[in-house]
Amino acid sequence: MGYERERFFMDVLNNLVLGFSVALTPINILYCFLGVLAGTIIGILPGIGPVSGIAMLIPFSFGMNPTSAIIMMAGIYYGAMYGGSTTSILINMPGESASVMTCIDGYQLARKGRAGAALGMAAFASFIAGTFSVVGLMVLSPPLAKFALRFGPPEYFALAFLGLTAISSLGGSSLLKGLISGVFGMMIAMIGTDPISGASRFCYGIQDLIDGLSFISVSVGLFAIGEVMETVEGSLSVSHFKSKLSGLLPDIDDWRASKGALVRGSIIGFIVGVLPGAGATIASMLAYAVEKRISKHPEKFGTGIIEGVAAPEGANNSATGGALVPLLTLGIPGGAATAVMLGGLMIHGLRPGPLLFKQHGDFVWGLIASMYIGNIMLLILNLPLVRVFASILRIPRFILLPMVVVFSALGVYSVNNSLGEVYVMFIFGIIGYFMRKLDFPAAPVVLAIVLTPLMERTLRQSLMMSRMDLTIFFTRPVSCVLMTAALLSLFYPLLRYLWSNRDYLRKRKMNKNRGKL
Amino acid sequence: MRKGEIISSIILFLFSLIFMAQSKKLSGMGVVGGELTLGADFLPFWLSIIMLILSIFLFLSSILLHTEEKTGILLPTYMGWKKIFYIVAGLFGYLLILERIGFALSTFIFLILTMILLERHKSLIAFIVSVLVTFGLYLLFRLWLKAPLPEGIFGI
Repeated sequence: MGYERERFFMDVLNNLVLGFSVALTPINILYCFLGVLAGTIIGILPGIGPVSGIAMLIPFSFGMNPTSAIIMMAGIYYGAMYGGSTTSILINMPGESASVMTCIDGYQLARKGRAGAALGMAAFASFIAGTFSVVGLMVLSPPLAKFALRFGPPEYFALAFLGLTAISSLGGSSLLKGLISGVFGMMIAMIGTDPISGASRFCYGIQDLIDGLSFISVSVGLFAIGEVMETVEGSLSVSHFKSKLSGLLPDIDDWRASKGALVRGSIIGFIVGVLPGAGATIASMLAYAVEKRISKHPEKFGTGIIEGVAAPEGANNSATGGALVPLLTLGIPGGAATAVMLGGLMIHGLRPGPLLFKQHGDFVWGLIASMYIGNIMLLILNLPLVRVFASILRIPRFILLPMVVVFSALGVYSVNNSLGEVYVMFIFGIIGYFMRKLDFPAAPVVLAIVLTPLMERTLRQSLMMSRMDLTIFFTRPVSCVLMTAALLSLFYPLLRYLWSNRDYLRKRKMNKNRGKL
Repeated sequence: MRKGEIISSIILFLFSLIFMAQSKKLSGMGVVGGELTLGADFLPFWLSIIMLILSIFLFLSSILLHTEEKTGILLPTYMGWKKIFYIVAGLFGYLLILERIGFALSTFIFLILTMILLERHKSLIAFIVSVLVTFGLYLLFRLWLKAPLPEGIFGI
């Protein structure tokens, strides 16, 4: 046993050396830097989240090799978590949804004149938790990938099904709307060529549709254009922050107050990140709630205490590392951001999964090593340069929004030099706007588009294997566990509703019975 | 919110009906080389059934559960609609002229028009920014990415 553990750590160490040899090439350092820089800016800009950011920048990765591309995309993802805290603390507006919880205590700290300490703690918390999650990714991924090598079609179907049901039920405010989004995404994914029989479906003779709707067009439309439309309808004035930024280093009391929150936030974030469906936003909410519950002075939360910044900022960064575990080892993204990354990699002709993990160590370990480097870059970017980044907030919306539109349109155009794909982006922008307005989550649509080809192929293969017997998904142990989890995630909201209203329902039943008497 | 839900449930209902009818035209289950295969229509058909059921649920829940009415602001104000219209119509117009007059000129026109429409009093800033951004995008896409963006009358 001891020997095996030793060998495992030797493997990890060897792989890490390999990873750093990839990540430390000048070109990859450059892309890592560009990624974290873009991520920080995207995180700061309200209205543009990490998903639209990654989707908008995918066209720029085409000249690169896939390793550089994933290094950059991941950099945007975790970089946005750093940047998002800046606006939360300074102007009480989350730059992206995972920083919502940081607003509560972060802004109060800023009002007390302690914006510097809050920003500093947010950056350190992100750094510590980010590094923790890279270690977790490094330790957890190899055994998981090895395990997944044995998966057959039923297991893959169950995995993808779980990924989709989990994000549909956890992602939005209503299970029903989440499911509608997911099924809508799957229906859209039907357009194009059938992966098994090769028949073209729902193309109506339109050449552009033979390959299916372009993933980039749909996600840029739903996220970037939809976000622009939603932002533009509101006030276009820019909020200024007034508090001065001084003393960016948290003092010893801050550290003492935050150290527990940092550890718990990192662990919660990583676990939530690995699980399908939840993501950085839920991780930060959970971490904040846990801190508040176990705190000796829960009443102080919301009045501006430093652990109220450390916990959610740690958790949202840790979740990004966790979210990469299922993406890299199984090829199944757990959320919208990783789904967009998967879509980007597939354009490069790369399909993450256990095989890739085994055969292309340079890709996986290069990414992991680059995340160590990226986190250090982010700490440097976000501590001394936070004033510079905060000034991005001064860019007026009437300038910013048309720029985002042009950038999206040209990016989508340059993928295949096709104007048709930009029209697809346009249509999905309008759909995305109404989905936002009506509270339909967009993430399940994107996830469904990425996962449906895999799901359809494995579903049909499985059913052919079993001669149309659905029990094949429940007679194999791994797929049985996954399917059960998927069904639970579907029915959990219903059960919770019945449970929380059990008194009411019981009373109503009693009243009815009384009526009969 | 409730009105929007009712409308969207009806749209989804009709959408899935059409989808179902269209999926029935696809090749179905068959036997290839003695092996049973599921046809191209298998998943589309079942998806449309699921969507049909979900849209009925949405319709019923928006009618029956009106106690849970959310008081969120759904509809933008008149000004909000106007600004959305500027962006949407501007983007549509941009796509119409993009391949006709080329990337540089159409990008500049789109930027300056939408910026001035959104903020009337700062047309000088809008002009300067539009020129700079167009130039920046030219450098980015043409020179760095070497992406063949549509050329226009001046060859740019």
